[in-house]
Amino acid sequence: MTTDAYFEELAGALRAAGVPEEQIGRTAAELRGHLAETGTAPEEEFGPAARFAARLGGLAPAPGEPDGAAEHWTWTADVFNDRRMLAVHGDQGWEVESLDAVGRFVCRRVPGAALAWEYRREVITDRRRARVLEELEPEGWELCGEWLTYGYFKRPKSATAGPAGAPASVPAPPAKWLFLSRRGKVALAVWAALAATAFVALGPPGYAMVLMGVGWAVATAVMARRETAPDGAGTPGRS
Amino acid sequence: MAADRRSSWLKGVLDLLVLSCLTDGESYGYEIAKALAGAGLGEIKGGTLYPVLNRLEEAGLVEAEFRAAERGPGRRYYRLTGPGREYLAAEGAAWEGFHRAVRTQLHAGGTAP
Repeated sequence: MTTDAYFEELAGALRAAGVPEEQIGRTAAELRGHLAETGTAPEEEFGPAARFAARLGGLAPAPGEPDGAAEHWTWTADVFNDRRMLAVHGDQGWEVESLDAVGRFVCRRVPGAALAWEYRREVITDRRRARVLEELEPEGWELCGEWLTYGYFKRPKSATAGPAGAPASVPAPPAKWLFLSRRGKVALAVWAALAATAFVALGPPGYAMVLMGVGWAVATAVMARRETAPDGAGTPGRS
Repeated sequence: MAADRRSSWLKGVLDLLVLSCLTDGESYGYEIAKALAGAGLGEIKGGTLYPVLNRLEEAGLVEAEFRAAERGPGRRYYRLTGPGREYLAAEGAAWEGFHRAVRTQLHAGGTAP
């Protein structure tokens, strides 16, 4: 990326975050001056433009500082529904900060300064991990959480859409936290029925737990294979 | 890892270190980075430094002025404000207290010579 292209992307992202035009110009002049002295490339010195813009815009909380103004919301969805719901909630300005131990998306949003986010999910088994990161990071994607074999990546929409990448609407944090698809509900019902049958048939909880664990592992493996199969030769799957 | 640990130490105290570079007068981003590197704190990239300067300015702890240069791009000079000086004194003392507690504990644990 050329220096001009970098600063264009940076300016677009700052604009989308509501930073005044005058401040954007001032910041760009200062940063260009810095590069003139270090002799480094912008990406090397400042990191990906979208991420840098988010930090410059005062959107990232200072380490150790209370984060009072931000809204927080944790939710989850099944694997059939997660990408659709991430797209919906990303458009409303929710940034996934991490996935918690039970696989829920831990989100944050700063009212008045929210960016719209886009997300993608990739299978990142040990073998694929380095390659996926190598391909996605230069495009501004940041790994924001992992669940089983899946890695979830985020990127501010302004990185690609410029000012058009601002959130379309910023509704209040939803009270709902579980978003199941129809397929997800059917799978859950089948799994619950199987587990209940196994429990009744096999008696000791240990057997049932083994059965549930095996079923879960098989389902995960099948899902991961389905995900990588169509274009598994190299490129990360569609998000 | 040692590098990761150093970087998280630095995170907690970088704003104070940046303020401390301004106690003797104004300075600009690149010069601040150079001063910190010279003090043995390692290379601070612009991607880390400028968000800190931004936050300090928004908090009113420093004020800045852009000045055009005769040759090359201009520079934005930062200087400490009154509240910035007070903040540095108070938070600097808090850091000292923390540092002393860590040192005492490490000595007690037998890691010091």
